[in-house]
Amino acid sequence: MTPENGSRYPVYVRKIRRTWWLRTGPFRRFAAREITSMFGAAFSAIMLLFLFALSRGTVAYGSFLRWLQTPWSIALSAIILVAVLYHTATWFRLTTRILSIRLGRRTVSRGAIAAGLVLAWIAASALVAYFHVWF
Amino acid sequence: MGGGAAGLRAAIAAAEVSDGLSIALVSKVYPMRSHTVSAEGGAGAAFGQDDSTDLHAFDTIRGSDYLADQDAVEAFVTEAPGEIVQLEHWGCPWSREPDGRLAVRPFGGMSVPRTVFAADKTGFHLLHTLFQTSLKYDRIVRLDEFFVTSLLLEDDRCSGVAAIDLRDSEVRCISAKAVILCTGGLGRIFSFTTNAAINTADGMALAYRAGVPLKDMEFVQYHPTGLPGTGILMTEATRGEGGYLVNKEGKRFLEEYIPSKMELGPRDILSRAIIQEIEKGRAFEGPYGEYVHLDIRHLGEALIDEKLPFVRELTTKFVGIDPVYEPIPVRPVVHYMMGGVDTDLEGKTRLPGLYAAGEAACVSINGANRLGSNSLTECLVFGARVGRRAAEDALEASEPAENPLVRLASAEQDRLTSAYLDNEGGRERIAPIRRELQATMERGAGVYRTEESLKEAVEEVRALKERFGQLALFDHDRAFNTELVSALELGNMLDVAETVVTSGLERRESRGSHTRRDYPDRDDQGFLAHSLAFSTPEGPRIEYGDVTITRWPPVERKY
Amino acid sequence: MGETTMTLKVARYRPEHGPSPYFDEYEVPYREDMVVLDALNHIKDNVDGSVAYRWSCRMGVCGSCGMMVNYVPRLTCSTFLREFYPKPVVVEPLENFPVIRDLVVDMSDFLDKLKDVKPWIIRAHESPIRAGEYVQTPDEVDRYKQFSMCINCMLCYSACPVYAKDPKFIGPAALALAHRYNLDSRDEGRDERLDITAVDWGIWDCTFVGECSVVCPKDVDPAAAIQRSKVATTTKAMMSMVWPFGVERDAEDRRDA
Repeated sequence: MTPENGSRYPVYVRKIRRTWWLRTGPFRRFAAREITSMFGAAFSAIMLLFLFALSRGTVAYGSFLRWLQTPWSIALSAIILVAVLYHTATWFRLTTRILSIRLGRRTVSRGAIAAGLVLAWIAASALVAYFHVWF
Repeated sequence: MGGGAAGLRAAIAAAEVSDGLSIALVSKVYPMRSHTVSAEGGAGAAFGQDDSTDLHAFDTIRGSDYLADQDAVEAFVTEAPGEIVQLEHWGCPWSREPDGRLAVRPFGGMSVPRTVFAADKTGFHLLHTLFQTSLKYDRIVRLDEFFVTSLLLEDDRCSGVAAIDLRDSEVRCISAKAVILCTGGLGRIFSFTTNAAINTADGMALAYRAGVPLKDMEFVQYHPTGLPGTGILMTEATRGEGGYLVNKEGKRFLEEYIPSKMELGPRDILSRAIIQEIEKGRAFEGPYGEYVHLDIRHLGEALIDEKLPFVRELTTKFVGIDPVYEPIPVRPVVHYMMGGVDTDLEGKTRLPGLYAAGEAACVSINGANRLGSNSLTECLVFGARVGRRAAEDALEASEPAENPLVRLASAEQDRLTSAYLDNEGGRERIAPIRRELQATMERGAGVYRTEESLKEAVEEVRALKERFGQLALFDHDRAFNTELVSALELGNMLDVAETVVTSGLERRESRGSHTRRDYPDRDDQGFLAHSLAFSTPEGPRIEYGDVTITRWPPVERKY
Repeated sequence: MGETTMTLKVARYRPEHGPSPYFDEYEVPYREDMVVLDALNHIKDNVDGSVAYRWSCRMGVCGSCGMMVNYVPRLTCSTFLREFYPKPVVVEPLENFPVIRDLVVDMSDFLDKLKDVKPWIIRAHESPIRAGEYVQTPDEVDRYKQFSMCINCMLCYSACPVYAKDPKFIGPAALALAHRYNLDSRDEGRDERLDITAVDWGIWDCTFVGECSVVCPKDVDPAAAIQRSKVATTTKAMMSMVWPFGVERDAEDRRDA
């Protein structure tokens, strides 16, 4: 409940620049984190194309696989892989800040949460690899 | 006036009396900046099984060197536990025993542990709890960063205040059926103090100039353990949790002065002990004067992090010392003013319409020396009492007449404009006068005082007041003129400093924290009385008033 | 022997003298234990009494003295000159707030938002005082303690790019305090507060940049508070879809949400 500012002296309002996210290290890293999410979206789009190609029959599927093996496509996949790994690493870090698991008067340490996430990732990857090899 | 523990508590208490009342909380800073925020140790109240309100009363009265008004102390100790619980209900994060009940710690001068605490940031948590709770009440209107420059008196009644809005330095007339002063202490009249920059005796000066006497102003509490240089407080809780005070020879020197209580003795005795160690050459020397060591290493890292984390943070940051591994340098530092605006048990002054509570007031429950952890509780108990009393009175009172008040406020605006804002003449600057005042007070009104030191101080303060009349400001702007505020604060500091040294001069005995080398004994015959400083054009006139004794006849103060 | 000095570039804004801010440069004496606030006080006392700024406790607990020091929001009472010596130090008012004068900003927006989130204990029934304190174990105190350490210094608002772009954003400190009360076992207002904060200009405006927690001088970690509020709100919404009849919540449920 603040009384109306009857002051007749103008306040000075500073404007934020459009390029605010380039100005400091932490802001640049934040921008990188956000931008790399788009690569994750790109990967999902490619997965959808996969399913779509699959649904259109063997010929379409085959030509899609050949497209995936072109140099441009491999390069794109490599970029997406790096971006998604970076993005995942930042989100693992952030998750250690968000999750608060209490054991009595202690809290599970951030390192332990990170280790847990990495283990979960390895386990999930192992499962995917297993299916890939088996089938 | 004032948004600290006492002011906020009073505002909430008044708001709860009736929703027909509108309550203005006028503060020169945002309430969460009030100096309550720096209090660390705790708030004392008689809760436990082995405790009783009578014992708390006795400890307080003995601690006060029998100058406290015992009826006030009885009311205080009775209401103290309820206030602590009330704060707890409002969300204060008091530290707890494993079973979830309020925890208590030992404190100086207390016979049993009865100091409730919130780690070592009790004042911070208390203030923020009160402030956030006060936001519930729409009828508490906050006037943040308004500086009250004078009380408005009409027909021998206080009917409001004139305050400048710092945004534009214009005087606003705030008429009120009751005005409560909760403006805190006056540490900044000294150069070495735990107090924040804002503790400049504003409310005391306002009451004093309006004809209300200031009571017991000679009793300045020196806290034994402040960091040399900055004066940052090292809470009594360090000793409450078991810390030692050690001299250059590595000895716990309090053995010689107060062996029965050691580090948990009352503050005046400990401060004198440290000064005596310094005078005997048994203290360390440093760039900011001599000091002794406060050693809490033996308490262990776990306890320090649990109960004294803020102490660790402060020493690490400001003197580069980790108390887990090294002892802390400390020396006596001005901390609290036992005296203040003369009030009764409900915070009423002898000027109708004017009330006071907290450190700015003198009821008196602290007498000649305050026990640690009684002040936060005092703010709560008397803040609540004065809030209720003022609210009840306001419901009965008639509306103040607008016109006379507006005229007074307008005159105040003219005074400020001509004396400061538009005044291009004048030879003096604020900082030199303030520095000299602070140095004068350190020399004249230190832990040990003499007739000469006080007489000189009285004369020097008078001379400084003359110089203050010739003040000029750099800053003639109206928008947020902090130099104007500093000048007004300096005026308040000078007026009140004069009462401190004059009362000290007239009290020719030693009692509690007022220690005279030339009169080293307590003199109940001559001076079992409160000093009352009245404002006159020639300076303060000192009278004496009775101390109320109920069940504890004054005896020798032994520990 | 000459005194060691260093340079302070202080931002000025004097609306009665001109519409734009400018810089004044001052030489101040340098000692190893001086903080930026000491330098400002030296300037004000001895060189230029017209520099306006807020300060009070000088020990990092009142929150008054927040300013931009070399473009980073800091408490000037706790920022030592030796960090920068001998390079010059740039002192400006806190970012993202309107400037009233020199280094003084208008913080009324924060106070309005603080009141909006209802930062007080909300209960259906108050227990009488004579019944004593509510029981709260040390464990229960620990759950919210960190978030109760906020000194309202506003450094987090200065560091937050969301608040910079969108002044309507409730902001880190206010949201952290809302979360503090949500976690307090004595409080019953969690649902009410989540309704207030789980809005587009509340917790959902936050993109977890995380700079607020980096600059916080008291390790309150407002970023964590906001993300956990997001988890709490989402959980509450999903629960109400699965079980629309309302859930009896006891202290155990308050875990971290």
